[in-house]
Amino acid sequence: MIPENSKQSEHSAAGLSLSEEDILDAMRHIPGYLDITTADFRMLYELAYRHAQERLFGNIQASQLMRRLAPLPQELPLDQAVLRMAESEAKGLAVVEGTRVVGMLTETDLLRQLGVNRFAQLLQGLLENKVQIGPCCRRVQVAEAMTSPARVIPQDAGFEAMLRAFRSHGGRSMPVVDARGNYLGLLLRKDFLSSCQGERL
Amino acid sequence: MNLRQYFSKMRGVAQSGPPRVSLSEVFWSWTGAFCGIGAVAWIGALIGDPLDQVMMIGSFGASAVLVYGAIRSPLAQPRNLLGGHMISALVGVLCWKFIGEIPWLAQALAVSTAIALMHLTKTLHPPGGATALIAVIGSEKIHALGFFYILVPATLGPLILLLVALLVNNIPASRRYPELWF
Repeated sequence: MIPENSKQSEHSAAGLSLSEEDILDAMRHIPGYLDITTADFRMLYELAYRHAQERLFGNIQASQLMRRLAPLPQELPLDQAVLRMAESEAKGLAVVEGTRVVGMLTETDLLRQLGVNRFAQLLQGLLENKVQIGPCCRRVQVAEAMTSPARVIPQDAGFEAMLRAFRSHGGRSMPVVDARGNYLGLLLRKDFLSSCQGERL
Repeated sequence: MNLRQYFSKMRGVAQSGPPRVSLSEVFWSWTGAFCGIGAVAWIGALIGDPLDQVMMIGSFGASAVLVYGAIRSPLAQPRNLLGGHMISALVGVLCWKFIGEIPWLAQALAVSTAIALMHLTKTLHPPGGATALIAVIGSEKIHALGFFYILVPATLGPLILLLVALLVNNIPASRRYPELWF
Protein backbone atom coordinates (compact mmCIF):
# COMPACT_ATOMS: atom_id res chain seq x y z
CA MET A 1 0.00 0.00 0.00
CA ILE A 2 1.04 3.61 -0.48
CA PRO A 3 2.18 5.18 2.78
CA GLU A 4 0.07 8.22 3.55
CA ASN A 5 2.51 11.01 4.25
CA SER A 6 1.59 14.09 6.22
CA LYS A 7 0.42 17.24 4.41
CA GLN A 8 3.77 18.86 5.10
CA SER A 9 5.91 16.31 3.33
CA GLU A 10 3.35 16.12 0.56
CA HIS A 11 4.12 19.73 -0.19
CA SER A 12 7.86 19.43 -0.13
CA ALA A 13 7.49 16.39 -2.37
CA ALA A 14 5.63 18.55 -4.89
CA GLY A 15 8.58 20.95 -4.93
CA LEU A 16 6.59 23.73 -3.33
CA SER A 17 9.11 25.26 -1.01
CA LEU A 18 10.40 28.66 -2.13
CA SER A 19 13.69 29.97 -0.81
CA GLU A 20 13.95 33.42 0.73
CA GLU A 21 16.06 34.48 -2.24
CA ASP A 22 13.41 33.27 -4.71
CA ILE A 23 10.85 35.55 -3.13
CA LEU A 24 13.17 38.52 -2.79
CA ASP A 25 14.21 38.17 -6.42
CA ALA A 26 10.57 38.19 -7.49
CA MET A 27 9.94 41.26 -5.36
CA ARG A 28 12.84 43.07 -7.02
CA HIS A 29 11.15 42.53 -10.37
CA ILE A 30 8.12 44.49 -9.22
CA PRO A 31 8.81 48.20 -8.93
CA GLY A 32 7.50 49.96 -5.84
CA TYR A 33 7.27 49.06 -2.19
CA LEU A 34 5.51 45.74 -1.61
CA ASP A 35 3.60 45.82 1.62
CA ILE A 36 4.15 42.15 2.51
CA THR A 37 6.78 40.08 4.29
CA THR A 38 8.44 37.13 2.63
CA ALA A 39 6.89 34.80 5.21
CA ASP A 40 3.38 36.01 4.38
CA PHE A 41 4.11 35.76 0.68
CA ARG A 42 5.24 32.16 1.11
CA MET A 43 2.09 31.34 3.02
CA LEU A 44 -0.07 32.93 0.33
CA TYR A 45 1.79 31.08 -2.39
CA GLU A 46 1.46 27.72 -0.72
CA LEU A 47 -2.24 28.14 -0.04
CA ALA A 48 -2.88 29.37 -3.56
CA TYR A 49 -0.84 26.48 -4.98
CA ARG A 50 -2.81 23.95 -2.97
CA HIS A 51 -6.05 25.53 -4.11
CA ALA A 52 -4.97 25.47 -7.75
CA GLN A 53 -3.91 21.86 -7.41
CA GLU A 54 -7.29 20.90 -6.01
CA ARG A 55 -9.03 22.83 -8.76
CA LEU A 56 -6.96 21.12 -11.47
CA PHE A 57 -6.60 17.64 -10.08
CA GLY A 58 -8.96 17.43 -7.14
CA ASN A 59 -11.46 15.21 -8.88
CA ILE A 60 -9.09 12.73 -10.46
CA GLN A 61 -9.02 9.31 -8.85
CA ALA A 62 -7.02 6.25 -9.71
CA SER A 63 -10.24 4.29 -10.32
CA GLN A 64 -11.25 6.74 -13.08
CA LEU A 65 -7.96 6.40 -14.94
CA MET A 66 -7.42 2.65 -14.60
CA ARG A 67 -7.99 0.12 -17.37
CA ARG A 68 -10.08 -2.93 -16.57
CA LEU A 69 -7.56 -5.47 -17.79
CA ALA A 70 -8.03 -9.09 -16.72
CA PRO A 71 -5.37 -10.13 -14.20
CA LEU A 72 -3.28 -13.30 -14.40
CA PRO A 73 -4.03 -16.12 -11.93
CA GLN A 74 -0.81 -16.91 -10.11
CA GLU A 75 -0.90 -20.62 -11.04
CA LEU A 76 -1.16 -19.89 -14.78
CA PRO A 77 1.71 -21.35 -16.84
CA LEU A 78 4.00 -18.71 -18.24
CA ASP A 79 3.31 -19.54 -21.88
CA GLN A 80 -0.38 -18.76 -21.42
CA ALA A 81 0.50 -15.59 -19.54
CA VAL A 82 2.62 -14.58 -22.52
CA LEU A 83 -0.37 -15.04 -24.83
CA ARG A 84 -2.53 -12.87 -22.58
CA MET A 85 0.14 -10.20 -22.43
CA ALA A 86 0.52 -10.27 -26.20
CA GLU A 87 -3.21 -9.54 -26.55
CA SER A 88 -3.17 -6.84 -23.93
CA GLU A 89 -2.16 -3.23 -24.51
CA ALA A 90 -0.10 -3.15 -21.31
CA LYS A 91 3.51 -4.22 -20.89
CA GLY A 92 2.71 -5.89 -17.60
CA LEU A 93 -0.31 -7.47 -15.92
CA ALA A 94 -1.36 -7.87 -12.31
CA VAL A 95 -1.12 -11.32 -10.77
CA VAL A 96 -3.88 -12.41 -8.40
CA GLU A 97 -4.57 -15.16 -5.93
CA GLY A 98 -8.35 -15.33 -6.13
CA THR A 99 -9.09 -11.62 -6.29
CA ARG A 100 -6.19 -10.40 -4.16
CA VAL A 101 -3.21 -8.83 -5.88
CA VAL A 102 -0.02 -10.77 -5.14
CA GLY A 103 2.34 -9.39 -7.75
CA MET A 104 2.99 -8.00 -11.21
CA LEU A 105 4.24 -9.87 -14.23
CA THR A 106 6.09 -7.54 -16.59
CA GLU A 107 8.17 -7.96 -19.72
CA THR A 108 11.24 -7.49 -17.54
CA ASP A 109 10.18 -10.51 -15.45
CA LEU A 110 9.87 -12.59 -18.62
CA LEU A 111 13.32 -11.54 -19.82
CA ARG A 112 14.76 -12.46 -16.43
CA GLN A 113 13.16 -15.93 -16.70
CA LEU A 114 14.97 -16.37 -19.99
CA GLY A 115 18.24 -15.43 -18.38
CA VAL A 116 18.71 -12.04 -20.05
CA ASN A 117 18.36 -8.47 -18.88
CA ARG A 118 17.36 -6.62 -22.02
CA PHE A 119 15.33 -7.27 -25.14
CA ALA A 120 18.38 -6.90 -27.37
CA GLN A 121 20.14 -9.64 -25.39
CA LEU A 122 17.12 -11.87 -25.98
CA LEU A 123 17.37 -11.24 -29.73
CA GLN A 124 21.08 -11.98 -29.61
CA GLY A 125 20.40 -15.24 -27.75
CA LEU A 126 17.77 -16.23 -30.34
CA LEU A 127 20.10 -15.41 -33.22
CA GLU A 128 22.82 -17.54 -31.72
CA ASN A 129 20.32 -20.25 -30.71
CA LYS A 130 21.35 -19.98 -27.08
CA VAL A 131 17.92 -19.14 -25.68
CA GLN A 132 15.12 -21.72 -25.69
CA ILE A 133 11.81 -20.06 -24.96
CA GLY A 134 9.31 -22.88 -25.16
CA PRO A 135 10.46 -25.29 -22.41
CA CYS A 136 10.99 -22.55 -19.88
CA CYS A 137 7.58 -21.00 -20.46
CA ARG A 138 5.63 -24.24 -20.19
CA ARG A 139 7.40 -25.38 -17.03
CA VAL A 140 7.16 -22.20 -14.97
CA GLN A 141 4.08 -20.71 -13.32
CA VAL A 142 3.34 -17.00 -13.16
CA ALA A 143 3.85 -16.99 -9.40
CA GLU A 144 7.50 -17.97 -9.82
CA ALA A 145 8.27 -15.34 -12.42
CA MET A 146 6.36 -12.36 -11.08
CA THR A 147 7.66 -9.41 -9.10
CA SER A 148 6.18 -9.65 -5.64
CA PRO A 149 4.90 -7.91 -3.66
CA ALA A 150 3.53 -5.45 -6.21
CA ARG A 151 3.29 -1.75 -5.60
CA VAL A 152 -0.46 -1.16 -5.57
CA ILE A 153 -2.52 2.01 -5.40
CA PRO A 154 -5.89 2.48 -3.67
CA GLN A 155 -8.86 3.16 -5.95
CA ASP A 156 -9.52 6.55 -4.33
CA ALA A 157 -5.89 7.76 -4.63
CA GLY A 158 -5.83 11.35 -5.91
CA PHE A 159 -3.37 13.24 -8.06
CA GLU A 160 -0.75 13.71 -5.33
CA ALA A 161 -0.80 10.07 -4.29
CA MET A 162 -0.53 8.84 -7.88
CA LEU A 163 2.32 11.25 -8.58
CA ARG A 164 4.19 10.12 -5.48
CA ALA A 165 3.61 6.47 -6.30
CA PHE A 166 4.93 6.73 -9.85
CA ARG A 167 7.82 8.89 -8.69
CA SER A 168 8.98 6.34 -6.12
CA HIS A 169 8.40 3.34 -8.35
CA GLY A 170 10.06 2.64 -11.66
CA GLY A 171 7.24 0.60 -13.15
CA ARG A 172 5.01 1.53 -16.05
CA SER A 173 1.82 0.48 -14.30
CA MET A 174 0.31 -0.30 -10.92
CA PRO A 175 -2.63 -2.48 -9.90
CA VAL A 176 -5.54 -0.48 -8.47
CA VAL A 177 -7.10 -2.15 -5.43
CA ASP A 178 -10.08 -1.63 -3.17
CA ALA A 179 -9.80 -1.21 0.58
CA ARG A 180 -9.43 -4.98 1.08
CA GLY A 181 -6.69 -5.34 -1.52
CA ASN A 182 -8.92 -6.83 -4.22
CA TYR A 183 -7.89 -6.20 -7.80
CA LEU A 184 -9.95 -3.61 -9.69
CA GLY A 185 -7.84 -2.60 -12.68
CA LEU A 186 -4.46 -1.44 -13.89
CA LEU A 187 -3.30 2.17 -13.74
CA LEU A 188 -0.88 2.85 -16.60
CA ARG A 189 1.70 5.58 -16.15
CA LYS A 190 0.95 6.90 -19.65
CA ASP A 191 -2.76 7.25 -18.81
CA PHE A 192 -1.87 9.15 -15.64
CA LEU A 193 0.49 11.46 -17.54
CA SER A 194 -1.99 12.19 -20.32
CA SER A 195 -4.58 13.12 -17.70
CA CYS A 196 -2.13 15.81 -16.52
CA GLN A 197 -1.75 17.34 -19.97
CA GLY A 198 -3.62 19.72 -22.12
CA GLU A 199 -5.95 22.49 -21.09
CA ARG A 200 -5.87 21.53 -17.44
CA LEU A 201 -2.36 22.89 -16.94
CA MET B 1 -0.45 26.97 23.29
CA ASN B 2 2.14 26.67 26.03
CA LEU B 3 4.34 29.45 27.37
CA ARG B 4 7.33 28.42 25.28
CA GLN B 5 5.29 28.58 22.06
CA TYR B 6 3.89 31.92 23.15
CA PHE B 7 7.30 33.50 23.62
CA SER B 8 8.83 31.82 20.58
CA LYS B 9 6.29 33.68 18.43
CA MET B 10 8.03 36.91 19.45
CA ARG B 11 11.15 35.88 17.53
CA GLY B 12 9.46 36.51 14.17
CA VAL B 13 9.47 34.19 11.17
CA ALA B 14 10.48 36.21 8.12
CA GLN B 15 14.19 36.38 7.40
CA SER B 16 14.00 39.73 5.68
CA GLY B 17 11.63 42.49 4.77
CA PRO B 18 10.91 43.66 1.23
CA PRO B 19 14.01 44.82 -0.68
CA ARG B 20 14.88 48.51 -0.79
CA VAL B 21 13.12 50.32 -3.61
CA SER B 22 14.92 51.94 -6.55
CA LEU B 23 16.02 55.55 -6.53
CA SER B 24 13.32 56.47 -9.05
CA GLU B 25 10.75 55.09 -6.60
CA VAL B 26 12.25 57.26 -3.88
CA PHE B 27 12.06 60.25 -6.19
CA TRP B 28 8.40 59.71 -7.08
CA SER B 29 7.45 59.05 -3.46
CA TRP B 30 9.12 62.30 -2.49
CA THR B 31 7.51 64.21 -5.35
CA GLY B 32 4.02 62.86 -4.62
CA ALA B 33 4.22 63.61 -0.92
CA PHE B 34 5.64 67.08 -1.54
CA CYS B 35 2.82 67.93 -3.97
CA GLY B 36 0.07 66.23 -1.94
CA ILE B 37 0.86 67.73 1.46
CA GLY B 38 1.74 71.02 -0.27
CA ALA B 39 -1.66 71.10 -1.98
CA VAL B 40 -3.57 70.46 1.26
CA ALA B 41 -1.61 73.16 3.09
CA TRP B 42 -1.93 75.60 0.20
CA ILE B 43 -5.70 75.12 -0.13
CA GLY B 44 -6.01 75.49 3.64
CA ALA B 45 -4.20 78.80 3.50
CA LEU B 46 -6.25 79.87 0.48
CA ILE B 47 -9.53 79.29 2.30
CA GLY B 48 -8.09 81.00 5.37
CA ASP B 49 -10.51 81.68 8.23
CA PRO B 50 -12.58 80.01 9.46
CA LEU B 51 -10.65 76.92 8.44
CA ASP B 52 -7.20 78.22 9.16
CA GLN B 53 -5.05 75.67 11.00
CA VAL B 54 -7.69 72.93 10.87
CA MET B 55 -7.25 71.96 7.23
CA MET B 56 -4.03 70.11 7.98
CA ILE B 57 -4.03 67.38 10.59
CA GLY B 58 -1.14 65.09 11.51
CA SER B 59 -2.74 61.94 10.12
CA PHE B 60 -2.37 63.28 6.56
CA GLY B 61 1.39 62.88 6.92
CA ALA B 62 0.81 59.19 7.57
CA SER B 63 -1.60 58.93 4.62
CA ALA B 64 1.06 60.48 2.41
CA VAL B 65 3.45 57.64 3.33
CA LEU B 66 0.92 55.16 2.01
CA VAL B 67 -0.54 56.87 -1.06
CA TYR B 68 2.83 58.12 -2.34
CA GLY B 69 5.30 55.68 -0.74
CA ALA B 70 3.50 52.32 -0.79
CA ILE B 71 0.97 52.78 -3.55
CA ARG B 72 0.41 49.07 -4.18
CA SER B 73 -0.63 48.47 -0.61
CA PRO B 74 -4.31 47.63 -0.07
CA LEU B 75 -4.13 50.15 2.77
CA ALA B 76 -3.32 52.90 0.27
CA GLN B 77 -6.26 52.42 -2.11
CA PRO B 78 -8.92 55.15 -2.53
CA ARG B 79 -11.61 53.23 -0.65
CA ASN B 80 -9.28 52.93 2.34
CA LEU B 81 -7.92 56.46 2.11
CA LEU B 82 -11.33 58.15 2.00
CA GLY B 83 -13.38 55.62 3.99
CA GLY B 84 -10.76 55.21 6.68
CA HIS B 85 -10.54 58.92 7.41
CA MET B 86 -14.29 59.57 7.24
CA ILE B 87 -15.33 56.65 9.45
CA SER B 88 -12.58 57.36 11.94
CA ALA B 89 -13.47 61.04 12.04
CA LEU B 90 -17.08 60.18 12.84
CA VAL B 91 -15.97 57.81 15.62
CA GLY B 92 -13.59 60.43 17.01
CA VAL B 93 -16.17 63.22 17.09
CA LEU B 94 -18.75 60.96 18.74
CA CYS B 95 -16.24 59.93 21.40
CA TRP B 96 -15.35 63.58 22.04
CA LYS B 97 -19.02 64.62 22.20
CA PHE B 98 -20.23 61.89 24.50
CA ILE B 99 -17.33 60.86 26.71
CA GLY B 100 -14.92 63.74 26.23
CA GLU B 101 -14.95 64.38 29.99
CA ILE B 102 -13.06 61.12 30.53
CA PRO B 103 -10.12 61.82 28.21
CA TRP B 104 -8.31 58.49 28.56
CA LEU B 105 -11.47 56.52 27.82
CA ALA B 106 -12.51 58.75 24.92
CA GLN B 107 -9.05 58.46 23.37
CA ALA B 108 -8.82 54.70 23.78
CA LEU B 109 -12.34 54.10 22.51
CA ALA B 110 -11.90 56.43 19.55
CA VAL B 111 -8.84 54.63 18.17
CA SER B 112 -9.93 51.09 18.98
CA THR B 113 -13.45 51.56 17.61
CA ALA B 114 -12.11 53.28 14.51
CA ILE B 115 -9.90 50.27 13.82
CA ALA B 116 -12.78 47.86 14.39
CA LEU B 117 -15.11 49.79 12.06
CA MET B 118 -12.44 50.16 9.39
CA HIS B 119 -11.93 46.41 9.54
CA LEU B 120 -15.64 45.72 9.26
CA THR B 121 -16.09 48.10 6.33
CA LYS B 122 -12.89 46.95 4.59
CA THR B 123 -11.49 50.47 4.73
CA LEU B 124 -8.50 49.85 7.00
CA HIS B 125 -6.20 52.85 6.69
CA PRO B 126 -3.69 53.29 9.56
CA PRO B 127 -3.79 57.10 9.52
CA GLY B 128 -7.51 56.80 10.32
CA GLY B 129 -6.55 55.89 13.88
CA ALA B 130 -4.78 59.26 14.15
CA THR B 131 -7.76 61.07 12.64
CA ALA B 132 -10.02 59.56 15.33
CA LEU B 133 -7.52 60.41 18.07
CA ILE B 134 -7.07 64.00 16.87
CA ALA B 135 -10.84 64.56 17.06
CA VAL B 136 -10.61 63.74 20.78
CA ILE B 137 -7.33 65.37 21.83
CA GLY B 138 -7.99 68.27 19.48
CA SER B 139 -6.89 71.65 19.57
CA GLU B 140 -9.63 74.01 20.59
CA LYS B 141 -10.30 74.82 16.95
CA ILE B 142 -10.77 71.17 16.08
CA HIS B 143 -13.17 70.62 18.96
CA ALA B 144 -15.08 73.70 17.83
CA LEU B 145 -15.69 72.10 14.40
CA GLY B 146 -17.98 69.45 15.89
CA PHE B 147 -19.35 67.10 13.24
CA PHE B 148 -18.06 69.42 10.52
CA TYR B 149 -14.66 67.81 11.30
CA ILE B 150 -15.84 64.81 9.26
CA LEU B 151 -16.14 66.97 6.15
CA VAL B 152 -13.24 69.35 6.74
CA PRO B 153 -10.57 68.30 7.17
CA ALA B 154 -11.31 64.55 7.30
CA THR B 155 -12.92 64.25 3.84
CA LEU B 156 -11.57 67.25 1.95
CA GLY B 157 -7.96 66.58 2.93
CA PRO B 158 -7.93 62.93 1.74
CA LEU B 159 -9.75 64.00 -1.46
CA ILE B 160 -6.93 66.40 -2.27
CA LEU B 161 -4.31 63.76 -1.40
CA LEU B 162 -6.16 61.33 -3.68
CA LEU B 163 -6.33 63.76 -6.59
CA VAL B 164 -2.59 64.44 -6.35
CA ALA B 165 -1.91 60.69 -6.03
CA LEU B 166 -3.86 60.04 -9.24
CA LEU B 167 -1.99 62.78 -11.08
CA VAL B 168 1.55 62.11 -9.81
CA ASN B 169 1.62 58.34 -9.29
CA ASN B 170 0.61 57.66 -12.89
CA ILE B 171 3.37 59.74 -14.48
CA PRO B 172 6.26 57.22 -14.29
CA ALA B 173 5.91 54.12 -16.47
CA SER B 174 6.77 51.89 -13.52
CA ARG B 175 3.87 53.12 -11.36
CA ARG B 176 0.11 52.70 -11.51
CA TYR B 177 -2.49 53.99 -9.09
CA PRO B 178 -4.93 52.88 -7.87
CA GLU B 179 -4.90 49.10 -7.83
CA LEU B 180 -8.64 49.24 -7.24
CA TRP B 181 -11.14 51.99 -6.45
CA PHE B 182 -13.66 50.35 -4.17
